[in-house]
Amino acid sequence: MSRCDFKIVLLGSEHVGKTSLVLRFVNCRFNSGTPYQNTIGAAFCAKTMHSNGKDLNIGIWDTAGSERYEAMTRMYYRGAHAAIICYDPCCASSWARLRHWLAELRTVEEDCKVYLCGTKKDLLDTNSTREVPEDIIATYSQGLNGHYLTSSKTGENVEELFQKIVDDCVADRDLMQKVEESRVQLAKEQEKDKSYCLC
Amino acid sequence: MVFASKMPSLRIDQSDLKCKNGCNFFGNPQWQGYCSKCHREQLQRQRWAEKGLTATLPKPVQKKMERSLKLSSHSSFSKFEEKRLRQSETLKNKTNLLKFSVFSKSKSSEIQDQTPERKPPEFKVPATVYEMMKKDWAENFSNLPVQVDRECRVFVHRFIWDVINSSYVMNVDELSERVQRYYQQFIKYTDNSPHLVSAEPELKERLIDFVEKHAMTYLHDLPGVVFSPHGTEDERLDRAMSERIQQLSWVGEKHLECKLDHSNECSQLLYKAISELLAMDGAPFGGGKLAHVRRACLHVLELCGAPASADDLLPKLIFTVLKANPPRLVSNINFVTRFCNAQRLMTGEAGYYFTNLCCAVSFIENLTAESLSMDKKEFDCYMAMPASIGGSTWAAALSLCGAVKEAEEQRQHAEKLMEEIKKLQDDAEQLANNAETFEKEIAKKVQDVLAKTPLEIKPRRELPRLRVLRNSTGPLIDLETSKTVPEEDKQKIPQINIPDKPQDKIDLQFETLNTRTENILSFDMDKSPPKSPQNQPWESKQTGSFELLTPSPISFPLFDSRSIDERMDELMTPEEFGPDNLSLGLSNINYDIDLSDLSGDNSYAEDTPKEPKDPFSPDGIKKEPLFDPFAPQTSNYAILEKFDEFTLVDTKNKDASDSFEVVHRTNDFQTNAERSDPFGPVQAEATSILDENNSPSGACLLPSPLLPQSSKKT
Repeated sequence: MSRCDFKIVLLGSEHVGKTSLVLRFVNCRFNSGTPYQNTIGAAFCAKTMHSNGKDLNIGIWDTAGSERYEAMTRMYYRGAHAAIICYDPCCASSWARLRHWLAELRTVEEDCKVYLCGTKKDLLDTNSTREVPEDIIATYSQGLNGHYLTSSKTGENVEELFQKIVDDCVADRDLMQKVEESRVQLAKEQEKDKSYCLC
Repeated sequence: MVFASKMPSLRIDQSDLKCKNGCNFFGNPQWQGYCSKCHREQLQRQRWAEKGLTATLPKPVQKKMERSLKLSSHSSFSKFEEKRLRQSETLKNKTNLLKFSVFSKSKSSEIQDQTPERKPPEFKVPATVYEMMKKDWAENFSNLPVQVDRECRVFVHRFIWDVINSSYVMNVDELSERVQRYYQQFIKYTDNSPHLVSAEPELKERLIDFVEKHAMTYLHDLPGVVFSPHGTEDERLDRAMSERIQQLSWVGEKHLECKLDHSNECSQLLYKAISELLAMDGAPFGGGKLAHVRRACLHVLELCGAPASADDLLPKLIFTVLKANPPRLVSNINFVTRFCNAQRLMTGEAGYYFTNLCCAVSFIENLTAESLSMDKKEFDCYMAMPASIGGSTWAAALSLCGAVKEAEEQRQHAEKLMEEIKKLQDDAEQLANNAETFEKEIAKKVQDVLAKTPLEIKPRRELPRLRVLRNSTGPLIDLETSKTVPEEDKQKIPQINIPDKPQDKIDLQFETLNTRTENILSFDMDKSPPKSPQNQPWESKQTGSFELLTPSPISFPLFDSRSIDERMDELMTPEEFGPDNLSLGLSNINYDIDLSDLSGDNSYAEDTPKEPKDPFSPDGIKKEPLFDPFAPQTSNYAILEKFDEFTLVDTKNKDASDSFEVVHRTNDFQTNAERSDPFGPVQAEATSILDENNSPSGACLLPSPLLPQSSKKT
């Protein structure tokens, strides 16, 4: 499976749970014994999904969350169909960095769909205190494609999140394809003119 | 040319008079606008280029290197260094030539000047491209209709032709767009072609890759078209990058916060990743380069351990790139981003790893004290340091890695050799076992035969002949023979039979010979006591004959054994090996034994009966060829050993027995001296006997005993 239909980028600061989210989604399991680091090659994951009666390959790109590589993340989400920005509701700093990506995505990749994902819901449900107020999240997620609170440990909302992304992308692609076809046709005509010029 | 064209203009700028190389000296049109020094240098460089480079252009050399790297993986880290050096050399060369070339004057003139010169009037895609395509097609797409193959080739031709033409008029970005459009066009074709309606999407992808590969493989090697094209700064950036990485050689894993243990395994993986990164430059098309990058990243991921996420991958990849310092890194990355199928690049695994590599490169480019989270002063200090000093322990570890790899290969080779040796040993053992079993089997057979044959032979021989002889011989002998023969004959007869009819059993195995020798011994032992009583009366009458008789039983085994041995040695040729020689040797025994019987008449009597028993000989002859190979050697040793012992024993016996007679001793000594000291003469005698015996096999037995006796007497 060398080619993927959709490219989904995972953004989020370190230790927010990006890798766990991917692993939960791809392998349908979560290893709490060795949290955060458990399976091979979680950097890039591909999975086949169904949507609208079609089989689709989605490639999930994990990114390095460390701040020192922040300047490079732009390369990752170039041409991405969707981006998931992860944050930890119990960690205010992770939310602060989220805003940076949001701003950049909006300017650099206009076509990219953006989803917010609050991770570690299981922790939130049990005892940890929420540091990021819900109303702020609500205001931010208004202009975005969706917001999910997930738990990689229990698997809650993980599948739903990705299914929503794929559904959106498929719906969008069908629309885009029509536009694309007309554009290619135009380009072809231009090309013909050019080749004549060369001769 | 530019210089010349500018000459007629009225105003000559001083800069135009100066050396084109930019070394403040004045140039001369005779020296192509260079100063004398630069001109000489340039001439030298050109000559060197003609000699060294035209024969092996940089690309093929690298490719070969890469291939050898991949295939034999005989590479060591030093080779990487070597390659890097060579690469930078070629690069420098190229840039120098570029600097000197006319086109570098101005961009506007470049295009105008360039087009007539670089563009061949009628461009033709070399046939090798199509040959390669055909070959590749036959290997991968043989089940597709032929039309697709043809259309692919037509497409590739159009693609190459168009790209080369447009490369003169377009800048890189436009060209890249054009190439991408071609890819899209081909994707459309695969979707719409009536031949590919039923084809799986995977096959279509492979087809697209196929076209890309062949088109780009050709274009890649054309200088300045798609790979570090003219009008870009790729080459300069390559060098800058290479220098920067060299400068940053002090950056270790602790700066990048990636944990690497210095274990052997770890450095092996790192080594593999580095070799993949270096191999990237050799791949002639985007897909190949991406595959190398992907493999390198997978090695790095493995290096990270099981739970590799992007947070682990990126720092380690940066570290790997720093240690690898891949040749023409920027050019390669630009080539891939510009001319690789964008759809593949944007999505998919290879695209992801390539993006990581890009990130790593951009990180290295923009590396500051902050990004390494270290003090600015310290960072500056490190950067000011000459690159050669800053090598970390990893450089050593990696160079060791190369050695380790080589050593491993050597070890594997050695193991292979060891296996071969083992095999050989096993084979040899088996052969030995086979030989042993064969020997044993034959020994058994021989024993069986021996067990059978004496029973048959005995009655035939004794009855008629002995009676006749007894009648003929005197009464004294009769008495003796009557005493001795019945006892001895039972033992002897098999022996006697054997020697007499050598064709039957001489070739039998040494074991049988052993048994014979034992028999002979026992026979001797048996005889010696009877002799002494017999001898006493005989002494007075027949001293001469007795002298001859007594030594023979005791000493003859000695003589006989040697004679046999020596004959064996001498007559190793299979033909001679046969019954005759052995028969002769053994015939000696016979006649000795006969003598020991104390009566020449008797001995004759015993011998004579054996002559007519020739009817057995044919049977023996049939068996001979089978037994030949083993019998001689083993029998030799066995006989030697045994006889040596016997001789010793015999001499003692002699001494014991000789006490009776003075005459015996002297004779014994004489005979011993004659026989033991000079082996040659004895042999000669023996051979002479043999010769005589040879011709008439049976009949000679009678006269033969007489001859040596007479000779010895004299």
